[in-house]
Amino acid sequence: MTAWTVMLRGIRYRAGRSFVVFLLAVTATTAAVLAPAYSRAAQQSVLTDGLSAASTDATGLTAGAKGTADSAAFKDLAEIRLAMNTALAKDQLLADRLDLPVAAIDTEISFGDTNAKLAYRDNACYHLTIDGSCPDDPGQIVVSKRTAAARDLKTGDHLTVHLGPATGGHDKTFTISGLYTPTDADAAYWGRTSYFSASDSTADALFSMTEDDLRLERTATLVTRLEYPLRADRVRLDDVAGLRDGIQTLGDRLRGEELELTTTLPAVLRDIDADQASIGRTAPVIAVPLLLLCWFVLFLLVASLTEERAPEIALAKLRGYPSGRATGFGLGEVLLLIVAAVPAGIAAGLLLVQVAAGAMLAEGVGVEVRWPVFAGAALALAAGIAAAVLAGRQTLARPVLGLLRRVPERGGRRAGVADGVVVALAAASLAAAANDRGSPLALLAPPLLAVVVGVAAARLLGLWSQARLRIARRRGRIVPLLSAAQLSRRPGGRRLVVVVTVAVALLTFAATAWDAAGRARRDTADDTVGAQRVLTVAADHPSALEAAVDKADPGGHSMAVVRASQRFDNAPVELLGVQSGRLAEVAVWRGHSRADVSDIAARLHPDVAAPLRLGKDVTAEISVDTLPAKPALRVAAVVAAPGQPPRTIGLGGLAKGTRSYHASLPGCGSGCRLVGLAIGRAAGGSEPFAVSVAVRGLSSDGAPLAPSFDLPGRWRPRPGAAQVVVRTGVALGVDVSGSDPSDAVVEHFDTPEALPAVLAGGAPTDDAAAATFKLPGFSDQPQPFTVAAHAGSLPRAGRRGVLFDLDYATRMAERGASLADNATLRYEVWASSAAPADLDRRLASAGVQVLRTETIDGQLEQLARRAPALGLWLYLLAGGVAILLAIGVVLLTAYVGVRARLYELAALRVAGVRSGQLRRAVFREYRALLGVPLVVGLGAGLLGAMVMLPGIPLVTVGVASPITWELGMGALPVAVAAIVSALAAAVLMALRLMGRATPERLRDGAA
Amino acid sequence: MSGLSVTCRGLVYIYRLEGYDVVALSGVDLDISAGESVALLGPSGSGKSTLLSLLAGLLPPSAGRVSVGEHDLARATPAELQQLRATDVGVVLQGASRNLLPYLTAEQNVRFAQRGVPGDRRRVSRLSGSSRQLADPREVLAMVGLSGRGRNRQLPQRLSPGERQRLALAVGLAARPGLLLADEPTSQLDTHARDEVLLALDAVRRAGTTVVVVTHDPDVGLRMGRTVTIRDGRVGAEGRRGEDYAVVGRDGTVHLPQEVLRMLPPGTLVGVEPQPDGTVLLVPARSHTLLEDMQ
Repeated sequence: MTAWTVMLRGIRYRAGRSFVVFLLAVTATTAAVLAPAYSRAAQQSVLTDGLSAASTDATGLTAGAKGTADSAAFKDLAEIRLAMNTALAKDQLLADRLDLPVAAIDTEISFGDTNAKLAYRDNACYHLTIDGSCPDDPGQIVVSKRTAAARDLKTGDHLTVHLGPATGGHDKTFTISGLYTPTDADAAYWGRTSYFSASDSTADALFSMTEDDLRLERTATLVTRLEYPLRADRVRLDDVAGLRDGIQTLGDRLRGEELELTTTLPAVLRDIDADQASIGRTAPVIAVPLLLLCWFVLFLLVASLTEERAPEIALAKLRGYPSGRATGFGLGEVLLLIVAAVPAGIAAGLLLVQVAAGAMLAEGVGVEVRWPVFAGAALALAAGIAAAVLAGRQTLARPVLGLLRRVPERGGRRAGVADGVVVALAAASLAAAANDRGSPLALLAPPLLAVVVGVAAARLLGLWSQARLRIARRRGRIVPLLSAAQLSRRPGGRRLVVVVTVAVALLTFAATAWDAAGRARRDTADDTVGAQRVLTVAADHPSALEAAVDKADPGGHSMAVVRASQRFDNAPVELLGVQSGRLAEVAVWRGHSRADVSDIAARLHPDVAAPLRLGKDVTAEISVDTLPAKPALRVAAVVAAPGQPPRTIGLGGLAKGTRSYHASLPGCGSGCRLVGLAIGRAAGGSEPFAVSVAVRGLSSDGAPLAPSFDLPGRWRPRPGAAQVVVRTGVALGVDVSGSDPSDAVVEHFDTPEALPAVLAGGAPTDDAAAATFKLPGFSDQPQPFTVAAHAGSLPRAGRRGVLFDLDYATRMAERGASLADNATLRYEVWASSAAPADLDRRLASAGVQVLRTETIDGQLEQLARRAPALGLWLYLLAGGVAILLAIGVVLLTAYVGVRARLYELAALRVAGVRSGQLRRAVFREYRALLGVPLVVGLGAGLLGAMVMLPGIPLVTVGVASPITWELGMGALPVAVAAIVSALAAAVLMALRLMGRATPERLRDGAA
Repeated sequence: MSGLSVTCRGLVYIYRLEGYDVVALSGVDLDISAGESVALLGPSGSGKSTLLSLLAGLLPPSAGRVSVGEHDLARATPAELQQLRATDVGVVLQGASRNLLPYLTAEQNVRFAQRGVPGDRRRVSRLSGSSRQLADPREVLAMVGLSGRGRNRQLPQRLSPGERQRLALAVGLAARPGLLLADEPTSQLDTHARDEVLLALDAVRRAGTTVVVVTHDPDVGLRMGRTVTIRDGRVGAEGRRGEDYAVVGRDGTVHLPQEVLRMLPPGTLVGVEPQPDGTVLLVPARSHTLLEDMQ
């Protein structure tokens, strides 16, 4: 027989307790493994998510050049490819993480009054559905079906396009080999280049598969590039540093080849870094309390078990075992179990992380078995052994007779000192954590607070039970007497109270934080996205977008939104032009009911004149009574086509009498807007003149317009040097005088004088509380705004922005500028849940390319995988494990030494105490032992949450979210119910166990 | 196995209880020859179990001397005492189960007890073939009558109370000690089981081991050959082959038997009158004589 035999037989004999030790050691190892393994997986998830969420354009690499024939843009693609391959061959890491490149060249061309791109793109024919043939041969192109229909083109036609600048450049005739539709216009293959954005004035791109065809004109500006998409799924954490260096080096190498490397990948990685760093700091902080709790419970367990085995250890000493061998015999079983738990704990930790990764983390992210995992396990092993040795030390040091004697453990001064040290340490750490609530250390505050209040509660419970004992003795009431006696002398009672308090507080805090974070994520998602679905699109101009939205969603469940950013006082101000009539239906605006939003929308869209829509011509009936001899004067219409700058169309020279002045309006087939009428010198110059005209009527395409000449303010002179006086009446009287060389313009006012707006944050003017302000809206000219309402935040625009009516803003801006040329405008389509599911496809059909789709649910999903959520999930898990540990301790306290307790109870039965009284006494004892820490723990957890959560980032790293406290179904009620149920079950088990105290038990003895 | 003698001279043991010194033994003088079989008798709290613990080296004497064989227990270091228990002194605690590991078989329990003997000593013993060589556990079990029918492979709870007690004796004898100390080995046993245990103890004595047994049972004392009655922390009486004797203490004190004590209650003045035939006559002083003397 070897020592192993004795150990194994002992383990089998104490199977239940041994299993608990094993389970506890496994839990400790799991917790220790969980921190590095989960950190790693969560960081990888954040990386993968971050890279996937960023656009292909943002994460990919583009190597190329832009310019005319004297630049590298005219290099053969093969040459650029060779340069890239050579450079990448020296950086295998970067090369492996990049997908096959797509080579592309494009240049701006025009045919007729239509602008378009002539483009070459590798294998474009595989991504186009072509009626006809792929334009493989030189001189061949394919044209989109939409453009072909609009421009009356067909397969086999010859199309002459102008290459190069308008002044200069040459024409080149291509043969249309087929008509295409993009198989998937939104596919990553097409990158960010807007190939499919046909409108009135632009056509979809013309594709050629012969790159030389694009280099025919040396003065043309070519954009030549190789687009390398990043294989986000292949990028692992270890690659990041290498990728950063590789991009830097690659850029330097390509510069020598006159090629430019463009990528925003380093910036994307920088953003991801913050989340990763947060996880790296948070996970260990969360794991530490769980680990400490595990070790504390293990300590208690081993101490109890060793104490229980004291008679066995006494036998070993009695038989002359040297102290080393006696220690080995006393602790061997526990140590063997702790060692055996290491592989099981590692496996459990890795499995848990793998399950969590599958359920919560980014696709393709799994557990990684790396050295920190084993280091964590080794730490858990060392700490477990240390806890076991420390726990058993006192018992093992006792002499034989001391081991054989059953003397109840006494608390005493040492326990008081230990409590004092623990409380002092916890209080100091709590103060440090509370001072820096934004740091991960803040997550340590709730368990520390719980330790402090737990120790205090345990002490108070001891004092209370002693007082109860005295009272019960005086009154002679047996049930309170028995329970108070047991509570006041019970050795493990105080530790049990501390453990349960800490566990309950941990889970309560975790559940509260989880609920608060869930609400904060929902709020953030609502604020960030602004509608159930938001599609970022490429559109020519606001009116084109509005038209496309109307066509794609006739039901009105979608809304065109145009955004711009301005800066005031060195801070960004977000401008949002919305279709106010659909705002209430579509926008998700937190804190605003639908009625509120409808009310606000109505204020954004006061009644003004309808725009004067023009068709193919315009006619003005004008009377002139007196006309100066010199200079010769003319009248003109100021006309704005959607997205185009206003044009002045001459209606003819002014002549005496009442006459009709007429002009046709090229380019207004789909509708123009009459901005105003202009009167000026026919031949220019600055010769002074004075004239009075009366505009009696306006018509277009033979139909009269409704100019409302009789309404004051409807027609107003445009501010300028010429003196213009407008008189209302049946006819619009316009008196012009002065020497200003520019035309005198009288504008039709179809907008409010100042654009009503909802303001979030202060007004972007010196007086933040001002009711009116000026800000460049959609043009670069300052426009007047008036505050129609204030809001804490705007949907999708955050806490500093201006929201206004898109139509009015467009009309205002188009009085003097071309919105089609405004590259700073960003176009979006917001959709409610009632909008067509295939809105993106419909928009594509309507000529609007969808670049990106965001949804509130998708945003929620992303936020749930950001560092704070992943950290809180671990916290919740730790809280759950802590409760299981606490329940284990409760049962352990009941089971270890149960024979002696049953003997005592049996003796009480023999002494005449009824079994019902004993049961009630045990129940009262457990009610106090578990009820006090339950209440105290809940209070400590909630208090910790109230104090710490406002400072803890719940949604995004570095940003503390405003907390909304509300009761409702969530993790907290579930956690409380689970805690109460588990504790109740533990009490029932203990009661059942104590029910075995029958007088017959006295025959067997206490041992 | 050769027995070890035991000598106690003026043995005192005082322990502290809630701040008070309590004298458990107040000068025990006792000699036990090697191979002798002795029963320690006495009322509860008289100090007989304390004496047993002192003989086992489990308690250090407060004063006086105690030696087992060549070992002076008062001067021995803890390591020497531990070695003493490993090789020379076998102890059987009161209550058979307290001597046994419940998850080991009878044979394994004996082996467990033998593991206390240092390995080098075991090897030397085997090589030299000395009489101190460790016995095969089955031989030890056989000595106490636990052989056959797979008794050696039984767990303790499968054995009858008597067998369990004999197994406890076997565990105490596992290292072939020269002195076996057994505390109440026959308590809570029926007559048959008690006789079996006594037979086992007799076999042990016959094998040469000195046996000291603490018991309340006078019959057991009779069967042990010599009884030593401990009373008030001293050796009050001895019995040899059925004859009881008071023991004259080192300071001349004599513990009177109970029946005499009833006749001469404490405080009684007696005259001690040696007689020519070698006997000593105790004559209580008459009360009037005392009064006359006082007048």
